[in-house]
Amino acid sequence: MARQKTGIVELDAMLRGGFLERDAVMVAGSAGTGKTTLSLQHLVNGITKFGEPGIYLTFEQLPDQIYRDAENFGWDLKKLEEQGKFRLVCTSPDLLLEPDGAGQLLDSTIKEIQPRRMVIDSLNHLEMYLPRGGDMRKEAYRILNYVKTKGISPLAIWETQQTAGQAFSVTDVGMSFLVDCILLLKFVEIESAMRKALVIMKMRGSDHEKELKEYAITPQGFKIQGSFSDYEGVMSGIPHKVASERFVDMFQKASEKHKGGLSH
Amino acid sequence: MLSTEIKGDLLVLFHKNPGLIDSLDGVARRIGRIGTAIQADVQDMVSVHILGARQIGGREIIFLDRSGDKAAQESILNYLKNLKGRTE
Repeated sequence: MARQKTGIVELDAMLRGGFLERDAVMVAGSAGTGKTTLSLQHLVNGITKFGEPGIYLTFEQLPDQIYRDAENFGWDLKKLEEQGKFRLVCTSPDLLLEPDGAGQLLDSTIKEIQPRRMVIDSLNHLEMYLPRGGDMRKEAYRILNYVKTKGISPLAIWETQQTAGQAFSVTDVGMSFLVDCILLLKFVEIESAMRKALVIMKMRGSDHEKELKEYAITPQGFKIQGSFSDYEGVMSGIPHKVASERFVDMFQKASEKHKGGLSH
Repeated sequence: MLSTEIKGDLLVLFHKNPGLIDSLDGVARRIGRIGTAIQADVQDMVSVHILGARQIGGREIIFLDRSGDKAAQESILNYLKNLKGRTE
């Protein structure tokens, strides 16, 4: 099976080599979890490491903000545009929801740069502009299929309302069945510190890493750091150390107390 | 070319965001105005090929006409060069 690497080595390992080609991927997470950074890095790596041009379709954030934010990670999007390998398209969601809106808006850009990857930022904005009585799942299905039939792998961003301390279920994303793969980014509070966790919640037709991984947004972009193997209940929002770790802690504390007592 | 403040705002908006493709109302919102207020200026800029326009679902969408805009920039540059030559 052909795989599409993200270029983030640890994530590709979690995905057993990358996303399956032309699979619709959803990156879900609350504000500030790094959805845009991960998505942009997937596009930039696609161009610079694997020769796959890409389009970033944004509804809310103006391109100049995205150019600036990308520059902070060392990604020169304007240069990639000049090279004809990248396009940042900004539009109103209601235009995309028009019959043949996707084609009218994107056909010429697709012909021009022949992209293999596309980020849609975000499905929430499409939902906001859906006419009363409109079916978001049908519209999202139509748009994702338009992208796929052009030979492009879509990656859609979904902003969840979830905050630290709350559990997340895959069914919270009403459109989860439309996509083939879901990456969830989540804040977790552990010992009074806010940490970030990533988990692959679903990957149709492929094995994948089931373990929760800690990640950080570094000056170079998205970096997966390790697992939360010492903790249980991270996903449920009530993380606690596993029993063996608690025993080690208790033993260490008792030992320190004992040493302290002896020294006095 | 920049006879009004709105034209200046539109030029800055599209130069900073060359990938912007939006309806008249959508473009207007992004510079803090309403569609009817920018309509005449948009038409002027379309007529000189700095902006392009086409229809989607009965609505006109506006975008930067990259080749027209480049040609306009070059002609302004040439004009300024000539002006400088004459004054020297």
